[in-house]
Formats: sequence, C-alpha cells, structure tokens
Amino acid sequence: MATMYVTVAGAGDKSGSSWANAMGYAEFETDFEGSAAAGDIYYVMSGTYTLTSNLLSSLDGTAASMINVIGVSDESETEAQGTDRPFFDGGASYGVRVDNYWQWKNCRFEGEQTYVLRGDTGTKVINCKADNSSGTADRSAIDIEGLYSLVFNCEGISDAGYGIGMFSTQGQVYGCYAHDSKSGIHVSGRSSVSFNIVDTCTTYGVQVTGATTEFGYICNNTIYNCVTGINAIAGQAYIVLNNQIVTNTTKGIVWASAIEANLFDYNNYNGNTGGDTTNVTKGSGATANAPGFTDAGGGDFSGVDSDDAFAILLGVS
Amino acid sequence: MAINEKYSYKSFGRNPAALKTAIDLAGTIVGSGFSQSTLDAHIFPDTMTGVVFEKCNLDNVYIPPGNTVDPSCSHKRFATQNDLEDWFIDGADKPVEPIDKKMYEKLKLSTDPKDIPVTPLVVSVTRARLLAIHQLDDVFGQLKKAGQASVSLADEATIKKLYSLSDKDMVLVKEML
Repeated sequence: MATMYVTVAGAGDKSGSSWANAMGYAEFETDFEGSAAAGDIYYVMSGTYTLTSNLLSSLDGTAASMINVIGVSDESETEAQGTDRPFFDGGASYGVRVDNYWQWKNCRFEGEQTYVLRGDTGTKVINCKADNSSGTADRSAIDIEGLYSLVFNCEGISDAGYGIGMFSTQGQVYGCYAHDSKSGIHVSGRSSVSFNIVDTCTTYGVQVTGATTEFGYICNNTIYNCVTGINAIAGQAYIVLNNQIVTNTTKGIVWASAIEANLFDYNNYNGNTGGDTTNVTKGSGATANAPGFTDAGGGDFSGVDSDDAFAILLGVS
Repeated sequence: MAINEKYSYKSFGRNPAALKTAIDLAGTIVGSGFSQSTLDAHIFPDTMTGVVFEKCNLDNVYIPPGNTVDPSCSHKRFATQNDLEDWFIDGADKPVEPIDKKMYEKLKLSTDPKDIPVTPLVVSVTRARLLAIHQLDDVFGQLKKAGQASVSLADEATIKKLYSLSDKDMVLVKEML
C-alpha cells in the first residue's frame, strides 16, 4: 500500500515518493501496469497526460482496499474540479482500462476507441468526465463491465455510442450528466439509475437490458430531448418513479412488454411528441406539467416549477 | 534543443486545424496528442522541418521529411476493420493486430487478421462477446437460484442468434464464466 505523486513531466528522481520526486507519465504508466496494489493511491496533478499506448492494468484492488487514482490541483492534494482535473488524452487510438476494484476521482478522459475509460467489478468513477468522439457505432465513454460498480457525479458523452455504459448487473449511476450521445445511460439488470440528467441522445436516454426477473430502479432523473426517453429491450423488472420525461421525440417510456412486477408512477410527462408510453401503466400520480426548466436547450435544468409533482416530491421550489 | 512550451503537454487531436498554418512549430515538442482517425493526416505544414517529437501520440499523422520522431512516441497507422474494432495496419493498409490485443486475448477472440469478417458486423466483436458473457452470466445465475445446473439449449440458441456467435464462440463464452 503506497501513496504516489504524479505530474506530467515528473520531478527529482521520479520515484513518486513526493511531489518533489513525482513520477512523470512514463513512470506512472509502468507502475500502474506492473505494480499497482490494493490500497495504493496515485495523486495525479492537473495537466495533459498523452497516451502513447493503451493504459491498461490487469491488477486488482479489493472491495475493502481499492486502487485509487485521484486528480488534484495543487500539492496540498486539493481535489481537482472542472478543467483543472487531470486530462488523460487517448486521442484517436488509445483508451484506459483497469480490472477489479479501482477508484477514479476528479479526472477527464477523451478518446475514440471502443472505450475511453473501462473498469471491471467494483469500479468507482467519481467526478470524472469522459468523451468519446468516434463515429463508429456503440463505442463508450465510461464503460463498466463488472458487478457492484458505481458511477457518481460524472459526465459521459459518446457521439455514436454510450455516454455511460453499465453493461454488467448490480451497478449504480447516480447524479451524472449523460448527453449528446447515441444512448445516454445503458444499464443491465438489478441496477439503479437515480438523480441523473440525460440530454439529447439520438436513440435512448436510458436503455435497460439484461435480466428480466430481478428489480432495478430508475428514479428522480431528468430525461430531455432524446428520441426515446427510457427504453427496455425486454420485459425487465424495474421501478420507475419521479422522473421528468420531457420533450422526447418518439416516446417517453417504451417497455418491450408489460410485466406485472413493474411499477411506474409519479413521473412527469411533457412534450413527448410521439406519445408518452408504450406497455406502461403510468400510475395515479403521473403528471403532465411543463417542467419550467430555466434553459434546457442550453443545458440549464434548474427552475423546476414548484407546483410540479416532481418538484414537490423532491422539495424543490 | 529547447522544449517548445506552447506545443508540449497539450491535446491537438480534436482541433488540429490551426497547426497547418502555424509558424512557431520548432524545437522539441513533448507529451502532446496529435493522433487522427483518418490515415496519414496532413495536419502539420508541409514545410515544417527540424522539429523533434518526444512522448507524443502521432498515430495516423503524416510527418514531413526533415523532422524527428523519437521512439518514445507512438507513430503507427490504424483503421477500423469489419469487426468494428481498430487494428494497426501495415504500409499496404493490411491489418496486423488489434490495437487492444490484450482485450481480444482476454475474451479469447482471434487476433489473426484472416479471421476478420468479410462483411461489417452490426455490433463490434468485443462488444458482442462481452454482452454474451453478461447475458449467459445472468441466465446461469437465475438457473442456479432456481436449483438448475445448466443452461437450456433454447437459451443458448437465443444468445447465439442475438450476438451472431458460432458454436465455437459459445463454448469459449461458457468457459469464461
């Protein structure tokens, strides 16, 4: 278990033992791929880190002791925000991939490959932004392939694919902004999608696949200006509550088949030009109010009407 | 040679237009990204000379004669193949190996170029394999909870069809669970 310090050019003996001896990207890559161990912390300073090969680690943390990569903006380890977050530039050819129980905080990623950032079981991605600009279909920005993972307070964009793809089961996507993608958030069975904003997606705002017999949750999201707001490709069992389903062009919510176990209620449907639902019983608490966003087209979803059921439930006024 | 601070540790891959007319490309450029998705992209001035690139990503970028690309750079050619994944290619534009060869090996997919489909897939070969693994994992999990030990032939047939998997693929996917 070690704490290591990383800057774009490195410093001193580049051992990573302190900021005065920070690793450069080359030393970081070597350690990351060959020596990372449970409990390790890499503090990565703001700056651009250019990948000259895939940044891959097949090493694992543990549930109790993850491997941590934390973006910071100064030598006091202040957590980096916005464009101060260290930027891993995969360019057109490379991506970042880790195995089990890694935590990424306060970082930015860009790329065009199958994934920009991929993790496996127990991955946590917090306060990160990933952007995949590839025109090839179904590539991901944040791509999670393992169970028990969390994507929190992140931004995902994938021009022709998945902004945030949670392809295994039992994952959580919470408090994120997924937008300008083919599919904003993709989840499999037994997953939870809550308090996210999903904006301008050319197929689905939230897409549900996977197991049909165990519950997942889609609650308290704002899903705006997608083709279909929420889509389930089969009769997945989900509880869908308190969502703003607004200005989606084909349909608000489409379930491939209705199943008795589903619960839809207290969702606000407005301006879904092709209709609100297919194979969905809306519930007695459903509303159809104008959402009152300040400037949804400009990405400002504040200003929810105080008489809106959604706002009342959330205590927003 | 002095490090060119203006062009070092920066990302230019998505916005290369200004490079073409830049007059201050000189010295040593360190740790910047220039890679392009289109082959042999001419993003630098054809008259640029004397620049040394170190630790840069120059994949698919044409570098005019008279400049130096240090071995610490990546300067390879790649293109998307019919399996919807990107492969490094040779001078004749023939695929050599997938960029993420380790992922192919992990998923027990062939890295031999002769196994690339002759027509484009609908879903990339790695995505299809991962989805099939997740789906079979779900099916196995549900059957296990129900006290059964194996997947029915009907379930296997559905998954094979859905993800265009061969019998050989199916055996490999089941081995990976």
